[in-house]
Amino acid sequence: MPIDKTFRDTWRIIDQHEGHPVWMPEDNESRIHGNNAGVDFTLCYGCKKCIIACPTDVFVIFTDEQEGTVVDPLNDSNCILCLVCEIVCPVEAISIKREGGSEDTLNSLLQSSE
Amino acid sequence: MFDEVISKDEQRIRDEVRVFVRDKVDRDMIIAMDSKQKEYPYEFIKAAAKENLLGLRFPKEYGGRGLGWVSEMLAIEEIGILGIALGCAYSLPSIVGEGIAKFGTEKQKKEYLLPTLQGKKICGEGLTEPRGGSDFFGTNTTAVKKGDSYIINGEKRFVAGGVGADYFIIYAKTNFDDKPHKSLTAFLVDRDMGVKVEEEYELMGCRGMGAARIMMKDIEVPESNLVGELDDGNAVFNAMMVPERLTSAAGPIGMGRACMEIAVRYADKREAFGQAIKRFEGISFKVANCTTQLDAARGLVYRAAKKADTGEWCRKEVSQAKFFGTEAGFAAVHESMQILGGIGYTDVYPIERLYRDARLATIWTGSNEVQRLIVQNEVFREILSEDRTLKRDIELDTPGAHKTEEKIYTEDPKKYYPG
Repeated sequence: MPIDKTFRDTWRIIDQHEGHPVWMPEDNESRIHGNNAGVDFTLCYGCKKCIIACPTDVFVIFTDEQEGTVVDPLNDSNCILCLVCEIVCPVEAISIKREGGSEDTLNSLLQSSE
Repeated sequence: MFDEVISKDEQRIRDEVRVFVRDKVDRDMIIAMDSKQKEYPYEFIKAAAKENLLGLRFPKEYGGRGLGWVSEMLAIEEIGILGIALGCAYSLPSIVGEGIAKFGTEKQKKEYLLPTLQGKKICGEGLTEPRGGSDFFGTNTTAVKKGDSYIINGEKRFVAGGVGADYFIIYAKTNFDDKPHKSLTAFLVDRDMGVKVEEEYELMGCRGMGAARIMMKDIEVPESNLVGELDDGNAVFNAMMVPERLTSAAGPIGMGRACMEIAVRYADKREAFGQAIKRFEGISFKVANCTTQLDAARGLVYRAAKKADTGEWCRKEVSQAKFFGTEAGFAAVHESMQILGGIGYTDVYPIERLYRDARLATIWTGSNEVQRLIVQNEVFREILSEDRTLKRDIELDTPGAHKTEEKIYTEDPKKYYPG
């Protein structure tokens, strides 16, 4: 089960940690840390691949409330949305915030100047 | 992947190499090589040798596994994802080894081939000279008999392992009267015999393989280091060109595959205009085209490999695989970068490194232009020499078949001259 990519819309913020929000769903005790780079602490097992891959050092090793080793998006605001952490994560525990965009923005790009 | 056309044994060796590539190759070494912090990947050679992965097709008594060419192609594709420099390091024992295994003496096999496949000796080859590479038979390097030795003078350019190799297989002119293809001889030349490095090249890619120009000035090489027959370097060269070009073909398929895998994962996640970019045909058709080209390239490589296994003349098949495989590989890397856009042009992803690497594959081991020259030459020879009675005469399947005068125009060029 990968990270719930809708967490920014469907989960609620229950805390702040090192400057980034901590999210929790309505129906269980899961936690997601971060805003630009959300990490699901119930999925992450601290393999550190995202730490190696991230070009802007967003992630650091962290021990969560259950004494588990996870990565925390300590420098969440440094994220450049390159998606490399999402791609290398073996358990799909990371969700990077998507920039807005729609059929309307495409049509705006293609419309004539009149 | 291609499991339908390869045997269970071949699948097993592919999977074994895949695990080696996954677990035994330090990313820090790859990065150090590309950032010019490392001159030669000795530890990679030793690690591959420890797993008995070098020169897979050579006899077990000389350190190989006695496998077929297809197995080696599968291995090279897997190694290829590491980049062209490590692909080259892995391929050289196969290339140089071919010359020794086929034409070397028992002593040469024991003293050079065996320790090479055991990772105890590093090999290199000297073919290209400053005067040129494609025009191989115009070699300027000479070897002149003196007692029981040959005195070699000359220089070789773009030698992988020019820095790093313990010995080289060197081609030198030994006959100054006969035709070019009857004038060269292959020698095993130890670095310790006096090979000097004159220039270490700064390369666009393929870094960390010790590419250099080496100089041989009055180097004395014992006659026992002559490989094959005197003046018949041509035979050794033709044999070595099979692994040289087949490994050149298979490696970039691995590079292209690796980049396509990155691009597919990225296109699945990256959004634009409110949807994943894989939904746009401009993106998804690149994936369709490139993966199809890579599969077609594999088909050519395996077919050439199977023909090489028969021992028959296979230069056409090898050259077809070389130019098609390297171009399919480079195209896949190129289009992967396009799919990733700006971030693909940075070192956040390894595509830019593999792009620089893959570019070389169309140039080296006989440029793709030379491969096409070879292919057309073989095709014209094949078609024009075949027994036409064995096939339907398709030229007659047309209403104008009887108009023989229109088919081949023959006329005295002076027919309309005055007087």
